[in-house]
Amino acid sequence: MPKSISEEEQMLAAGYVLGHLSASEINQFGAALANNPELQAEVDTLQSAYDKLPQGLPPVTPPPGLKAKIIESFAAESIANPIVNSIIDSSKSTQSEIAPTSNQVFDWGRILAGIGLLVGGLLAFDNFNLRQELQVAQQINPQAVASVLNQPKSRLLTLSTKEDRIVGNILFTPGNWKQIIVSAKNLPPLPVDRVYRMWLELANGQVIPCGEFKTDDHNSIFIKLNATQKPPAGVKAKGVFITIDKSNDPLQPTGERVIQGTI
Amino acid sequence: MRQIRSDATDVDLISSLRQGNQHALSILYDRYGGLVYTLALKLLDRRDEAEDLTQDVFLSFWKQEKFDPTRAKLSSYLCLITRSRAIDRLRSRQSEQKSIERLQQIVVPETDLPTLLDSATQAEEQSIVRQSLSTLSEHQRDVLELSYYRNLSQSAIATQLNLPLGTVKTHMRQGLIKLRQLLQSQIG
Repeated sequence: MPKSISEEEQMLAAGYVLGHLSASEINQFGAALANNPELQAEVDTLQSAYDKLPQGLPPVTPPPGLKAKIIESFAAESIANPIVNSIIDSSKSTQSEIAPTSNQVFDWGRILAGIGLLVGGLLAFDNFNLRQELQVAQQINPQAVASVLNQPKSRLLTLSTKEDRIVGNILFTPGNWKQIIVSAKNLPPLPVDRVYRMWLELANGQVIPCGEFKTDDHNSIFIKLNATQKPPAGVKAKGVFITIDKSNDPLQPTGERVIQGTI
Repeated sequence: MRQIRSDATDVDLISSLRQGNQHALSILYDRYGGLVYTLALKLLDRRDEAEDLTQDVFLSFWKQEKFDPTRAKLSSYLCLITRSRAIDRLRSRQSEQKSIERLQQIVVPETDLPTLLDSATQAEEQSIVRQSLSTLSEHQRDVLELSYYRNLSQSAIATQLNLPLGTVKTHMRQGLIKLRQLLQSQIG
């Protein structure tokens, strides 16, 4: 206890933190607090001590599947990150208290509406950068995301660099490789004459091209790709990988694999 | 962006998490998931709701940009958020609670949580708090815990423990002051 605070003041400070004081005591103590930084510091420290109580609980181990559930929900939120987060942020004043729960992890209606708004907003402007972004945004038709999400078997796959840095996710439906939603941020910068190409790798070693793309000015993407061939019946997919190639290189998966995701 | 190590600071992890890095979330969960779940279960007394609340807390706390991890301890912030949201759930359960009325008065600070045990790791902090609580008298510990976890008013605690109201007040205040002194002695 600081020397300038009496025992009586300290008891009052404890009562204040614990909500024991009467209205008149609160008024009196509040006035004292305003003029005494040490007393305020004492109140803060007592509050901190009270807030530490849960640290003394005998620890209970969370259910084993909980972590995976949280990570999965986070990934689901992140899938639309590059474009959609800015939309959500812009309306944060009304949304900041909306907390996802297991029943309401992600408000897809809001997101899809946001994407629509973004496309509409972009159409209102006419400069080169925005038109570039618009091309990306148009590729990701909101209905495409919704249709994949509506598939009961739809899955998320994490995309990582060779250094194991997570850069994004793909959303897909196993067996249906017509719509692969790709969302990634902070991709390695691309030289001017190069493009990214994504490939689907099958368990039998076959590799199927899924399309090529460039990132936006922030090295991000949010696009829809599709496998150019249907995998043979009964052959499962092993994963996807992304290479950097010259745009006129033959369509062979020989470029350096910079990003991959394993199923 | 550099790769995140499992011993990264909370500040670095939250920064990465805000950029969408799910590995950062994984490390933070390993660090604090048990604490949040334990508190949620203690407050809600139902495993399914505790699980749901833990998920809720981890999927939302990092979006609160007003929370500055360089100025406040994450473990304290997570506990405050957990308790605050547990109140909402208890409220929705309805009925009884005069106790909830008291909890409703709790303000969750957004920044500048005070500083006890700031430099301690999570495991050290838990050990210190447990040891400090064990040093309090049984009455002091009981009244503080009934206040924090059961949200009981002083008079309800007095009734439950069959003690005079004045005695309960004294035990609570002296218990809190003693706890504060014990915790501070660990850093001073």
